[in-house]
Amino acid sequence: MAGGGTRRQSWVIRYGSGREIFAGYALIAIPLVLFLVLNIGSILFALVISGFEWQIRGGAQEFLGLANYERLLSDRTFHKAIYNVVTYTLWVVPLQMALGLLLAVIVNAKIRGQTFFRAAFYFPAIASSAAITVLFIFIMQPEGLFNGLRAALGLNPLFEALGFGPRHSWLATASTALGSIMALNIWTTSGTMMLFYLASLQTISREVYEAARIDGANAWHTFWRITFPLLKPGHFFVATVSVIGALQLFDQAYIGGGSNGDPNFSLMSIVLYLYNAAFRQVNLDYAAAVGIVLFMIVFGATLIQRQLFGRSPAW
Amino acid sequence: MTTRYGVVLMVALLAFAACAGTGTATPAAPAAGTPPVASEPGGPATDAPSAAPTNAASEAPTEGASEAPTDGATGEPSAFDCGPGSGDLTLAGFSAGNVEEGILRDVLDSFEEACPNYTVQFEVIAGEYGPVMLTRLGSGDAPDLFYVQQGYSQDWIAQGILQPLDDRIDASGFDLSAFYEGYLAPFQQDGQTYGIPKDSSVLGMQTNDEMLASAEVEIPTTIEELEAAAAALKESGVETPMCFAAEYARAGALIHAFGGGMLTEDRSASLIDSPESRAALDWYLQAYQDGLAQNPPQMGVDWCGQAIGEERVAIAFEGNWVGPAMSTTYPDVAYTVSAIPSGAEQATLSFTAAYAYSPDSPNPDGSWALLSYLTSQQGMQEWTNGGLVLPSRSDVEVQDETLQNYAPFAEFAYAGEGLLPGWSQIQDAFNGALRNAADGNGTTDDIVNATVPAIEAALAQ
Repeated sequence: MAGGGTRRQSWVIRYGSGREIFAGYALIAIPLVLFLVLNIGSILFALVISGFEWQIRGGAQEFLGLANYERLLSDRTFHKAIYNVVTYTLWVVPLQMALGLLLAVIVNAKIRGQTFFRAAFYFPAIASSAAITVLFIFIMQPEGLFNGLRAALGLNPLFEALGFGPRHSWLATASTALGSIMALNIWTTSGTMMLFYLASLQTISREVYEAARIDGANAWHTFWRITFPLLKPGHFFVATVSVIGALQLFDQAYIGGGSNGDPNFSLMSIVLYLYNAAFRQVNLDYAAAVGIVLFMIVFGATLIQRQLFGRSPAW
Repeated sequence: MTTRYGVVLMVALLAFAACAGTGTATPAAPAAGTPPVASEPGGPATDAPSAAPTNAASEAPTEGASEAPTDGATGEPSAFDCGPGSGDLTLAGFSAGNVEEGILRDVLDSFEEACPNYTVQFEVIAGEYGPVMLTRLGSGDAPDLFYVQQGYSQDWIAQGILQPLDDRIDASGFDLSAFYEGYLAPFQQDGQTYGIPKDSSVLGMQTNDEMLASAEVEIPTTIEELEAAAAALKESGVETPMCFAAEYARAGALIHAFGGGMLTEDRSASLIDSPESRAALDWYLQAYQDGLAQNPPQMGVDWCGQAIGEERVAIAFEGNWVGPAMSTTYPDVAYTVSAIPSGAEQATLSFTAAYAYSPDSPNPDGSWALLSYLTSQQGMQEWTNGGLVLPSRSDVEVQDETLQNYAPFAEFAYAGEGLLPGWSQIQDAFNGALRNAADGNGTTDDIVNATVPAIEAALAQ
């Protein structure tokens, strides 16, 4: 009797879930088709293009096989782009996450003016990155606000010791251009990261904190033993989005350093390199190869992160 | 089972995020007209040298330009052969500013008068002209006529998006010999012509009258005199006598003056590794080292025109587009325009854009009629009477006083860019290394070693 009951129940579930799956797919059919055609489809098409000599008007001319990839992997400027983007990612992602988490914890605490701070911290994220970058360029000029401020605060001896003169041109010097753009992006995107963390923070049950308080845990312990580990799905999401964003660095580099990533390719990123290949050198097949390589890098990075943060996220 | 679906869904989401650009950097092109401030702010440099007069023009609404165009047009129009066609034509170009668009409209009106079968609309392509036009031409959505900038002309020709013009030129008896050779070359490939230069700009030397007088220095005419003048200016208290932009579109003029260049004359081999080019680079870098010259970013200015306008330097090497900038932004600074000092030869660089049309042009007869009118002696006379740019034809008279100073330089001008498909890579490699060297982090060898592989790669394409 018991056995029959189980069979009947599983049949119901299977039957029910079958219809549900159908209904589900029917409901998402239109966006799904658009996604398959416009996203997956164009990725596959880019893969095809990268294998041919491809004219923008004439289409495929001649089969090249892997020639574009060989050229790409031996190109010095591309190496520079990879180096820049990896450096950028390794600095920006941890700092962005740390700053985002810090802001989220501050905003999540029951303090006066919570709403104001939440809006204020998020503000840089909604301002246009082009506008902010242009503003940032002015701030970092030799006669700009930043140099003026550090002089007024009497910090110049410190900067002098680090090798920066009082009129250092931060974005026009190859050694500090990328660092400046990193600082800019850590600041502008920390608001977005804060928002993601804030959402995760609010999923943590109050009971856990209450239990911790009863056990006599102080704020420091509560954060490191409870908040931080329970934010694991949040960490995964924030890290993934942040890494993907960092690997796709483009607009700030383009506005800050022009299409060749001035000075001397110090702001050359993979997407900027792709843009140059496609629209300045009009080498579409080569640009497609760059896109495929970037896709593989982003995809690989995401898979690695999945391994690092555990296999099944809690959402 | 659910986890499996979850994984698939998540991977799909992440792939979407990867493509759609969530997070920090959206791969969207920057807003229209956003100046890439740090590198090419004056506009006139690498990306759009011939667009520069355009920018300058928009800042110079009071220039003689607005009233000038009429007098050229009043001359009895010689019978222009409009051909058999008719229709509504569209001319596409980059944003030009009100003054330039007004002048262009006048020229288009006289075309409509000369060829009553046609009407012409001017369509402004907002934002990034090159990428927008590329996608339009690639998808067969071609306007009847459009601008092609010199910097990427060779790449566009290689893509097959420009209609070869030789048959039309032969059939109509259009006279190419009136055009300066250096202006035509970027629009020719394997003996075919794909575009006709609509106008031109050239580099000259601008000197600050007062600073030269107070240092008792004559305007230098040779490289030796230039060096001596810079030293004397420095002696007299000018901290930075010269503005040297660290890019081929400026330095190239002096490299040619030394007898060097980027490519051999037949564009089949590198010339940047020649002893003459190396000597020029040595000299250029020495001037930075001795404090006789600075790169605009080192002075915290956008371009050398600003440096001469703000009297930070006494000598600059810029194109005729500084004229409107000087007369509107720095009207009190007295300066003189002279030829770039000569070394082994007298040389300068030229920048231009051409009119061209696509093999997909819906009305080829109309495209050719409009193209040949705008680049005819009559059409170009009317256009350049606007006072913004120089003609690309030797038989067109220059009316504007400031431009008259630059007009003679056309005789010895070399094309400043766009000599090979892949030119932008050559230029980027050169400019990057030169800029580093200007900051003291490199030598002539470094510049040559960075540039030669790019030239070889471009030649191999």
